[in-house]
Amino acid sequence: MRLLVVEDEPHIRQQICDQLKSAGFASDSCADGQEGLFLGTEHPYDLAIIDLGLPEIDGISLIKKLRAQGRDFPILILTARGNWQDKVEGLESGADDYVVKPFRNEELMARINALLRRAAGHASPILNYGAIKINTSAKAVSREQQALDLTSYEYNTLEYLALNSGKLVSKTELTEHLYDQDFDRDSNVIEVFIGRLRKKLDPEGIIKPISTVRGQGYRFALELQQED
Amino acid sequence: MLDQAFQRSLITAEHDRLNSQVYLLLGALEIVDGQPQLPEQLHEPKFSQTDSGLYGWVFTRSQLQWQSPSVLFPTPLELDGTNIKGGQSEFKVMGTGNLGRVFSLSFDAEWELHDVTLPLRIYVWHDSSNYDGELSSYRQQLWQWLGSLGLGFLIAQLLIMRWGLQPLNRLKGDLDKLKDQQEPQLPSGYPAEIQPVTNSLNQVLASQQRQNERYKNTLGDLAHSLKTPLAVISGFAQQDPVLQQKLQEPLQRMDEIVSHQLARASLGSKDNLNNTVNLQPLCQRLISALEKVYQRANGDFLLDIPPDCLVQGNDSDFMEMLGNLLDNACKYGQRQLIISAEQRGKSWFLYIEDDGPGVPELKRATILERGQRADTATAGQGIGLAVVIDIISAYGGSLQVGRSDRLGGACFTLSLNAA
Repeated sequence: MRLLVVEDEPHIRQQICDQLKSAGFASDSCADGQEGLFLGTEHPYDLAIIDLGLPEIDGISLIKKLRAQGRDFPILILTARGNWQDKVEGLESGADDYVVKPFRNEELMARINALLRRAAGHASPILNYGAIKINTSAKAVSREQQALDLTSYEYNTLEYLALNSGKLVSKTELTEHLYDQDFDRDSNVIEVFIGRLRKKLDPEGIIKPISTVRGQGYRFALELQQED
Repeated sequence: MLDQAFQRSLITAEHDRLNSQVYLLLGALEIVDGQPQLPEQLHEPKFSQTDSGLYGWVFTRSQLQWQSPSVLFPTPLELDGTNIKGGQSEFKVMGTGNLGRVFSLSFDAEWELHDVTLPLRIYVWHDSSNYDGELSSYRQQLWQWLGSLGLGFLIAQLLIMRWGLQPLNRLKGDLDKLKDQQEPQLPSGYPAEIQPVTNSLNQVLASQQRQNERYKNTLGDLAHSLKTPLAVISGFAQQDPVLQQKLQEPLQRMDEIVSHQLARASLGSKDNLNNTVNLQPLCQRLISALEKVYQRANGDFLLDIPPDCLVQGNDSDFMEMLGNLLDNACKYGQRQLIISAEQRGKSWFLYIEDDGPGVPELKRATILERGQRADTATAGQGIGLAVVIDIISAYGGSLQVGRSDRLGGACFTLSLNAA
């Protein structure tokens, strides 16, 4: 998952980015609305965190511009004032949720995860694919009730494929959504992650959770089960 | 003065009339056997009519020679023929016993008879009934004229005053209208005498407006400039578990105090009572926003507020108040929420019902206690309801909490002044 952070206060921006990194998200950040608009238009983000009081272009105008350009990723607004006038205007301009400053990191992460799940069409944080279960809130994966030990990149690759279950996902798309701008985009890395994931998820090669579409990309092949 | 002048002119006229009567008598007088004689029928018929008010006497030095047939009373004692001096006449107004006030003219003549002269004195009396009548009719007319003139003056003065005060009345009307205006300014087009006053008033209004704007902006900036550093400190604190444990509570309290005091300060203004809020579109906006945040389906929130639900207040205060109440209802409720309103007399009653656990009866009074300070509130309790209570108190409304019959959860009832 790759997130955009637009916040003019350098400490808060850094804290959010650190928090996202430790949660296994890739993120790009900038300090003003103008750059936020450029990044948001240029890259396919999975979610944007936008402060309302921004220089150059204010938060609400930035959200409106992004939505007008057809960008439909979830947007979480940060507001210092926290009054309902601002919240309602932000939500009406196209944002999906808000967090009032100062916030607790857990709260921010919970909101981000809820928005990401919602965007993928899942209400529950637990994605149940029968033998394989992914807890998007705890970022944990289990196979036959046994917890699997995945690295954050492996988890992120699996989560992205699972949230786009049934769809063809190209290597480029995976790279763009999993890594921030500074990452060395070598497609071999993706192949290595997919290989490791297959071994961990399906050591016997029975359920074949991830299929390769030659020359095009990957597809998560398991179907989502209803919760018990 | 007019009365005196008229009296003088009446007396002069009376004098002239008596003079003519004297000349008339002199003209008609004949001397027969050395004695003055007057014919029975005189030119002036009033001398012949009894009690006509016109009386005449002719005296010689020795005795009364003639008296007009109109005289039916004894010759008054003050009349005689002594000291007759030819050509002398005397006019006077005198009071008499039976006749009342009379005008009297005596005229002395020396009648030449061959070699002898016969001294004569002629008295003509005229009673004052004519004079009194004319004077009283004059006075009556005078008073009528003066009365109507005075009345005319009064009406004219009233009209002038009304015309003169018209610009002030307009000013009053314009001042009354100011309360409904977003940017209060008096219109131009007043007379030159009042224009300086309205100009000064406009300057005061504009400066007050600017001051209010500055105040609001300063508050907004204050919120931003206090809350952002708070967020930074809180962020740093969360990176260190020991620090976080120590700082979490004081930081949260600081945040609540800042939020609460800012919400209270931005309220304050009494001007808000003159504005009108339509609750239906306002609640609709809040509901749409909350549906998005809480991911509720289309039918989960029921808005049952008539389109003419107008109350006194301003949009941002009501958005703050209802935003907090509806947010609580979403937070504590499970799925459903009903917002309804009904008008009773001069008040609107707004009901916010949810399907949550409700507020226990023992706690109901405590959560609605007014004046509960944010800095004494326990951590995690939130400032939402305190802000709601501050706002509704400022508008003279009331808030009650009970149980919802329809949804089983809490039911918050707001009573608001209709606009």
